[in-house]
Amino acid sequence: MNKDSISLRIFRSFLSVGIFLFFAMLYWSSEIIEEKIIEIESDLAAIKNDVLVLRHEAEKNHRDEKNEQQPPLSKQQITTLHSHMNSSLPNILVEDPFYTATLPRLLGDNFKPHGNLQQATIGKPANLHPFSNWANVSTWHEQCSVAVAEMQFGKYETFAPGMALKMEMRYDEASRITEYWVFLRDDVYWEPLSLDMFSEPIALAPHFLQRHKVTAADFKFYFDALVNPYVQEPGAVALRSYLSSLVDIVVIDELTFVARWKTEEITEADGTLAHQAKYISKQMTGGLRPLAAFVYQYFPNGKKIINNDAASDTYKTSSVWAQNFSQHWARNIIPSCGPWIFESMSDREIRFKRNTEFYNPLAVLVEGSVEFFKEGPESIWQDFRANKLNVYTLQPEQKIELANFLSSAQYKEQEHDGDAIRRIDFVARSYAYIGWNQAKPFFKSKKVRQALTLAIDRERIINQFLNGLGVAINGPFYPYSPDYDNSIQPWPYNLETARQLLQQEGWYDSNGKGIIDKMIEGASTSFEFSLTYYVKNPTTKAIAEYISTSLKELNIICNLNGVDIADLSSTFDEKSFDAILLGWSLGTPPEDLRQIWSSEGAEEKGSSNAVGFKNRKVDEIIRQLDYTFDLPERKLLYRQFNRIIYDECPYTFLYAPKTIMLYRSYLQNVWIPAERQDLVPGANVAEPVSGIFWITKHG
Amino acid sequence: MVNYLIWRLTLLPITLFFIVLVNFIIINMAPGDPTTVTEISQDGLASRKENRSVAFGSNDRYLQFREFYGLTLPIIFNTWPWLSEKDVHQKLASLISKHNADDVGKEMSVKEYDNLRITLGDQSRFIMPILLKILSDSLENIDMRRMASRFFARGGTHQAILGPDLTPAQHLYNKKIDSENFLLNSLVFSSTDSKEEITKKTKSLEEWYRTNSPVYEFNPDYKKKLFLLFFETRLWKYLSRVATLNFGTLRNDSNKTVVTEVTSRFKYSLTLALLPMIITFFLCQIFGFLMAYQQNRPADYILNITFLILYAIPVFVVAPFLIELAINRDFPFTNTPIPYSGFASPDLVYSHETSAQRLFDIMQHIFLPLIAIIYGSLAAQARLSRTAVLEVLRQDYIRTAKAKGVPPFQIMWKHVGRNAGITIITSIAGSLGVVLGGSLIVETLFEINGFGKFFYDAVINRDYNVIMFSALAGSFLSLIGFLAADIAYTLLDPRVTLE
Repeated sequence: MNKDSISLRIFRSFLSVGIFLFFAMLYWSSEIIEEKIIEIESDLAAIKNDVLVLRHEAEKNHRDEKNEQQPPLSKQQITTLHSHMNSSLPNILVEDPFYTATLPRLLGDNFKPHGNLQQATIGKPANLHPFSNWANVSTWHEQCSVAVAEMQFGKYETFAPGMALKMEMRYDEASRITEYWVFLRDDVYWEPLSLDMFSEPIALAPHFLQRHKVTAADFKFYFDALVNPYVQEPGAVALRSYLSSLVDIVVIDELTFVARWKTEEITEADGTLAHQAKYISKQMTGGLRPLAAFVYQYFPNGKKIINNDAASDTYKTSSVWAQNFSQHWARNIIPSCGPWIFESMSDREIRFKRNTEFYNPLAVLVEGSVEFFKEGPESIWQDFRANKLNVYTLQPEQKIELANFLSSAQYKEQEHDGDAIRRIDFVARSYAYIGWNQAKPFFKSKKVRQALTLAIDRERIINQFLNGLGVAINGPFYPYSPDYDNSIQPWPYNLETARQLLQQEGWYDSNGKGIIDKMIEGASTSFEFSLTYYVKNPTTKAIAEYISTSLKELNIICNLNGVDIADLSSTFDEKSFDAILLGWSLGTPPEDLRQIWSSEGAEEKGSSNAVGFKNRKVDEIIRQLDYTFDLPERKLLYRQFNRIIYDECPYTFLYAPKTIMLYRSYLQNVWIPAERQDLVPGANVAEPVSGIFWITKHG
Repeated sequence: MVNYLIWRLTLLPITLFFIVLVNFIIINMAPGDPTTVTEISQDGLASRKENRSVAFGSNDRYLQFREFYGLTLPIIFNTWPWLSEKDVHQKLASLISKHNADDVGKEMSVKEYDNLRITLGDQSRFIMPILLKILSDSLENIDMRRMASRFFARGGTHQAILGPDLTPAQHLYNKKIDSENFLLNSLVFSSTDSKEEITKKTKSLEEWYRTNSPVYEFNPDYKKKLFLLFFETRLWKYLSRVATLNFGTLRNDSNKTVVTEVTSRFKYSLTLALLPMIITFFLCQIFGFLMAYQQNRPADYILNITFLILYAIPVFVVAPFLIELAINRDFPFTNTPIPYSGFASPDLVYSHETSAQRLFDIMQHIFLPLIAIIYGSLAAQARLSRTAVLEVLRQDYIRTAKAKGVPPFQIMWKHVGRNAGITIITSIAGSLGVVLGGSLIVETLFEINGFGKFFYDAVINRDYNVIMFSALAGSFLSLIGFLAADIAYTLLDPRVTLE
């Protein structure tokens, strides 16, 4: 077979072993070199970081030396800085005692921010455009930015100093314009951009690698961008309608601007005429944010998008800038000047770090924050169980899974290591309802709608279909909102009264067919309607089926019409349903009643008033709320409204769902402000506030 | 042979053209628009944000986006310049009354209304003379004139040339359209305008039209119209881009081109397609031999039944099960936790690893996905391999070899193994396509950012560029594959010629 000589064979085997060893050595040495290179790389990165820190500190020292005489800005200094300030006018902004006294006391003297917040969201945003319609993107922009005024901790409709130190309200008699004079801090800067922020290589002009002061011009730029008709990002379009009566923003100097609001002529209670801006003007002015002019007005090469932008309305009107803005090169980063600094975004996660130089050192109590992009709740739940996430919002149907996990050996081990799971329940800002289309003859009468409400056992829905995770409500407000009228009890479950009400309205079984009927326009009409609901959500489906069954008790036929998203949306817009099972997400106070309850939208297709609700008194309340500034008076109006809605039953309010938030025990300060009146007197925020979370050394 | 090749290669672009054509029509005809937004969210109950009111009737919502991606043009033939004054008049009237002209009783649905509004908006630049005539006709109904002025402004609005480093001429153009767009926008008749104001605005619009009509060719002659019929269409614009190998950008991010995104995902999908194939090939040979050798004995039965069960379990059951098993567990005998998502460690860790560590890192991460991909095909192929081996064992040449006194191992290795292998290779190679397509589930569950998921998301998001690219690239590869197969036949089998 093999005719080679033995020596040749030995030589050959030696040779192959030798070659193999040679390659192995070669690989080994390259491996060692690679290790060294990586070491050097990370050393370099560390050095670079140190240099940056040193530079920052040097700059800071330099600045401190400059204003050494008075470490924090005194009143006098503010006035010299802001020569336009009128000291006789009161400051709308009130210092928040929570951050000056309560929180430092809670944290103790030796507190140092530590650890990373780790959360997950479902899906990855398309981009980080400042006016994206992704709710998460606007939240991220907000946490990397500053507002003119902040809400006092845990209290809605309050104004604490934010980017502004003082906000004055003036009235210009000649032009009948209400002016808010805003005086800004001078110690807030846009962080320099860095190449690490971008996922693709990009050449940046030195202009972007420097710090830029946040000035009044940035606020004007924000407003201009919002009202530019050619900016069509959904976020801007939505906000624009609220800013329609903000006439202009005038920059007085680097740190002062004036927001000028249109006024309307209104008749006061005593019959005199007065001019007043809308109530929302205060809130909207306080909510103004800066938009990074040093980024969004430029190309990456440092040239301006609009060469000659000296005219004050350039960014308000330019379509060329607007187009470049919507395709902007920086739309996958967030220029930061707020308590958080945007670090990077990849396909898997977005990272933020704490801004160590932020004027409120307690605005963020952890070192960093990561949000992972996940496919769905299932993979988020997996990561939470594996202790890769700090918090998780439990779905109602997962209660059993949670119980199983808590009794597993894996969890016992985690618990032993000090990573126990804690739970906090709170009512979510949304509610589920059935809307009765008032264009249909059945639902025209309020007694019928009341009867239908009485015939649906909402307690049972909560207990049976939501695992108890919900609360009954009496109207369209968040149950913990100051405007919610606690004196009104939700409609009880009472079939007998329901039957009586229907009979009073002429609905009874006249022909013994087992379905109640009534003569409408000369024809005998049976009470048979269809209930439209979202078929892919099992909870919704179960509730719809239950409602159909329970209405049978009243001899009413409720046909089920389960549809998918697209059909649900168009049915809603077309107002082509009889009754619809849906939900609303709620905003924060002040509640906006116009969108859903104003009769303006009752006939219009596509409006949010899909049930066609019309009530003159409610229209009057909506109008009054626009111009009423006095909080107790507003509360009274809201309660009147609440009472009318309760009585009219345009919707049957089913429940406000409860959220279960799970978190690991090393996460601290997880509490609901409204429940801790001892710490925050007058608080009405009923959800945990992630801004004050901190992590123990262990986590 | 050469003639045949030339013939096939000339057919290739023609075939591709028709594939593109069919795909293009289907995609563009499919209901829904890339800009369709539903305000009722997927999770059912919780829906519209109360404090984010929706802007109704905003005439050109998403116009920019549609312009940018060329979606404002008709799909194959552009007949818009031929629209008659009567048509336009009727459309404007329906927009005002919200009723269809032929169906007086019933109000238009929101969708119909929006479609009409958007289409007329897209058409407006081709019907500028008609719109001008309507808006300047003082005998016309004022609502009609107002509506016409809106569409006139829309038709006159142009898109800027984007990006830095523009030439002075482009700068000038941008400046011109910037002021024009603003001018036109301010000349739209508003409901509060007095008669004098409207007359004044009409004059300005006429003036603007007179000076700009030659520039923008608002009133094309017949030859020009014929040109527009074929070349001012979505299809032509797309084809002319593809001809220069420009496959466009992602719909979400114009900074990312389709080609770079696909290549960046290539490594994931290739690993998850080829590696399982190789592993399956070797494992199924081993099991096939084992079962054939132990035919009708307990080992054969047990393996056979196990594979039958594995074959019957779908991957979407196995994958979550594997994940469930892996959470909070380590690899046996080590302290390394079993990763259950991603293709590698987070970038922060991964970038500090040496190449050997990276390889090891990836191997750990794809451990579970590989199992999820392999088990099914292994079960099928092992049973096939068993049959193949048994069949070869019955052949005459095996008996001859045995009689000749060849050692059993050599028979197995040289005679049986090779011949049985051919069957398996044919079968596995045929499943290549299935592996690529089927990895969507695995990619989704293990959060690996590969092809399957990329193309799936594109379909869901109606990312036309990506869908078209996948169709185009897929068909191109198949065509090339068929050609290669044909050539391979002639090389393998001398009896086949391609003349």
